[in-house]
Amino acid sequence: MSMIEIPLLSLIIFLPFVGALLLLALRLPQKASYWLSVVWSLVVFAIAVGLLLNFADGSTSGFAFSEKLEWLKPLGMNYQVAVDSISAWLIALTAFVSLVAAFSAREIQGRHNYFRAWLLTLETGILGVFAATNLLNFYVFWEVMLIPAYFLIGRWGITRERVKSAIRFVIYTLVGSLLMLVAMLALAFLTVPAGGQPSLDLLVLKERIGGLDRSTQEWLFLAFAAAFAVKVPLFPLQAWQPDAYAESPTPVTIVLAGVMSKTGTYGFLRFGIFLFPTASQTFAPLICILALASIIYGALAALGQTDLKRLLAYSSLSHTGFIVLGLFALNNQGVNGAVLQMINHGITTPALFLAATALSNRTGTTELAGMAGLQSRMPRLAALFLILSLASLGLPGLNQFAGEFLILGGAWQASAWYAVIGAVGVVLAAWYSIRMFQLIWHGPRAENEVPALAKALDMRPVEYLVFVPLVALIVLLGLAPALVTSIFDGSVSTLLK
Amino acid sequence: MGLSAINALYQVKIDKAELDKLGQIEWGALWPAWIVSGGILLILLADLILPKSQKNALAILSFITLVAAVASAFTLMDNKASAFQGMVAADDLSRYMAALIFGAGALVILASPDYFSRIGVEARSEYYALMLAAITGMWLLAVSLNLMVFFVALELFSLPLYVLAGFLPRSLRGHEAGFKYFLLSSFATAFMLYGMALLFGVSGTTQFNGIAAYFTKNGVSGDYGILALVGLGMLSVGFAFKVSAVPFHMWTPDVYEGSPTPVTALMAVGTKAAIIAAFLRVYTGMLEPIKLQWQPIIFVLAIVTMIVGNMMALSQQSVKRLLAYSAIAQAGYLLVGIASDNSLGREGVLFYLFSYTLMTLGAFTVILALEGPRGEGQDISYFTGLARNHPGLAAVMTVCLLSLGGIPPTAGFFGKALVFGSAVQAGGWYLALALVGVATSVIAVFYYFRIVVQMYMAGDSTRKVVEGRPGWALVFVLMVTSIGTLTLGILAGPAFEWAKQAVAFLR
Repeated sequence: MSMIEIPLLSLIIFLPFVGALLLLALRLPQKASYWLSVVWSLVVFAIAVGLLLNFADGSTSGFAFSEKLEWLKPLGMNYQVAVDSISAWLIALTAFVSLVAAFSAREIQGRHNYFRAWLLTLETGILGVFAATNLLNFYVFWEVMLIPAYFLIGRWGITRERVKSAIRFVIYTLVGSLLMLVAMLALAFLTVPAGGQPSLDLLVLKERIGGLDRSTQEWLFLAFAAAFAVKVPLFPLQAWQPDAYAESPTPVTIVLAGVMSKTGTYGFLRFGIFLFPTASQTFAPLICILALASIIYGALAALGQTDLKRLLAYSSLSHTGFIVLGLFALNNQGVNGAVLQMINHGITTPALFLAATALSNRTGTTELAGMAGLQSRMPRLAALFLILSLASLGLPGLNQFAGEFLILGGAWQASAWYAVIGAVGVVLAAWYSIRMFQLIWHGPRAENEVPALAKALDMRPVEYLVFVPLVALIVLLGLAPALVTSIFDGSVSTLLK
Repeated sequence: MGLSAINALYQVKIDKAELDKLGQIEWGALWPAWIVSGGILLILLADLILPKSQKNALAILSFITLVAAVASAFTLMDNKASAFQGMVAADDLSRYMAALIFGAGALVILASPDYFSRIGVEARSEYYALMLAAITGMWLLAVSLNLMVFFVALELFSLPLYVLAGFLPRSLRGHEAGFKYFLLSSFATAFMLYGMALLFGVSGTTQFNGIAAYFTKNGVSGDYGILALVGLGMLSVGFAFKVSAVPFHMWTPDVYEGSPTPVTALMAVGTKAAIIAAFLRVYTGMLEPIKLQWQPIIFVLAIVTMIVGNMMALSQQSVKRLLAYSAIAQAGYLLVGIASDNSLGREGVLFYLFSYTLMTLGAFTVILALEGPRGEGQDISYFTGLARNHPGLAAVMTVCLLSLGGIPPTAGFFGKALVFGSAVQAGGWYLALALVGVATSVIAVFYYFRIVVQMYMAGDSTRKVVEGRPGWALVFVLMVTSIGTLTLGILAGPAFEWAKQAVAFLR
């Protein structure tokens, strides 16, 4: 495809890591390292957009840009990356969210170079996950996400509970992924053709997997699903999530909620549904029920929260539940909606967390009760919050609507009950979003007003720089979701075949 | 003797070259051992000549000797070759083990002077001579193809280690460690010797291939069958003890904790490498014909070792004890590859051994670099805020711990993936090995990360752990181990190919 032989994908994947090394080597002061990481992320984002534009006409439905390097032959393990239009979208999203994260990481308390380096390393891990087409290679990138996230939560987390949250995150994730590792190895050895070599190549395995008997396939699928369900997270494996989201500093929360949760849903799609079509069918009802449980549980928990960041964490749980529901509707509409929603959620959630941080920086609290009645003081921030809350509750014309609509439509085709219960989730989302908005912006001022509030400012120009593009994307994707779906539609059909 | 053979004996003109060969001793097969033996003599002599201020030259001399031994290993004979009438192997596995054992020994030696100067003990020539003797014994164990050689090698590395464990004067714990190690290890050796005697009695030979031939022909049936089984059982007890497999692991934490840290490092790395190589030669080589009898033994050992080792490590407050239990747990993972008994398992075990050597050595070197004059600095709380005071040490420790935890892209990950893979490939019940391995790996992350948390995230400790920076020799060891651990994780291919080549002859 490309004229010159540049390993484009590897370039995108490893460029952030190179940036991380550079930051560690240069040991720049706060401001310089900030700008280096921003510019670096911008370059990565630009290349990722360039990659995405190759798919813009929607004609490519399979993998492109594949690269391969031999790694460990006896296990059939290679360094192998390739992207189809779904991956290309998610890579662009990752680069975008990472850019937003880098941009929002202005003042870091202590060892800022390390912080930014870990953040960039995390980006490399996530990009690798979205591009890997060899199972063990996928696993390696999957684990590479773990360590940066662990340090980012545990070292730069907000309260004393941060270390506990970090450890809990690691343990949950590791249990899932080690099961996946065993399943991968089993898959490689069980599918060796007579006289052949074991392979972990996604496409080769896709050919070979038909030879496995049904129950084996189902066991392997479950092991994979465990890993993905933890990452999403899917009820009842979500216990690590609210803490981790709430504890993390904002740039990290943005990446965790914005794109890392998508590695789970992407895993379900690429290594669950694509690789194990029959087992997916068998377990679809179970997973759909869990997804519905996530939707309802997340929404109800969000309703009961008194802390803004925790509220957003639970709402994120609810929304990722929709994505999983769409995927396991196992029809074109549902999966299309799910992929669209991965992108939408990846834009809305970071925006919400950013706005929440902008607000809590001004009020000095994340407690909803400590805010109340701020609208007159910060009208512009209030307007921004309104747009974001409306997007989050799925108002038509804003981005989450189209995704949820497609998902519920797809779910309806699978079973009317899914759609009905899912719709309850939408109603609950409206409830908690409006409650959140009301608690923060309306009502009388709290009596014990925080002194800082008197001097509170409305939005600053630098904040427009990040929120305007986010809101523009939210509106654009709300009005014209086909811009996105037309690009990956072909890939979804290929994948579901 | 058949008639034709007698005729041949009379008629054939005896080939001069053949005759020469018969009386020839293939000295070349043991080059590394000769070199190190020479080195021992040199060191003992040099001690007499050197002035008191120059005693560190002894460490340099030992280091050079060991490096020369590694280099000479590559002149060994080809694959499948054996020397001294088949008593000693001179094959690819010998070469691999030479690089591993002598290489690890060289690093331990290099780290020693720093440690001794810090705790205020003068390391005299005995120390280096005993270390070199132990290292040589470990390698000889790994290359022995005869029960007698095996036993002599076992004693050759055990005896110096008893002395070395109690090497520190005025250290009660050290003396206790030495005594405990001596007593328990002697029991184990006695068991092993009894087992060997039975195997010899059954088969009538002490040669590995002779015993293998006997078992191929007779199995464990017949009158001698029961004796063979008892012999196998006793041999296994000895092996399990030496590799610190549960339930024969009791000595490990006490001895590891009480011994001087460089000696602990050598015990953890060298002994394990030697015993695992011997495992490969004895179990998957000599005893291959009766694998149905020994596979269940190793299977059970592997499972309990993984579970108990990791569970016990969870509650340790001393980092040295924690690493001792971790070494027990790692023995369990190594046994997984041996229990699965397929080619991937053997290759995986060797690769794992390589990564284990690097990461364990790295972790012990960090402890060694932090230890104070009276053995303080072993408690986990001593690591608090290490990342601030000694970012380099903290980084090395982190890399080694991540690797021990099996997290990619470090060497430990591929080690685990390979041995778990071999269990998965073996299928059936062996899948349990992989699943227990996975479950215990998660537990392991708990305690490995406890140290990481102390170093990077625990409250701000202003306590200076160690004054000054580690010396250049120590820095070199730290660099080799940590960079090696990472490199082996990223470029696993070549090392794996080497491991594959090294065990190719076993089947």
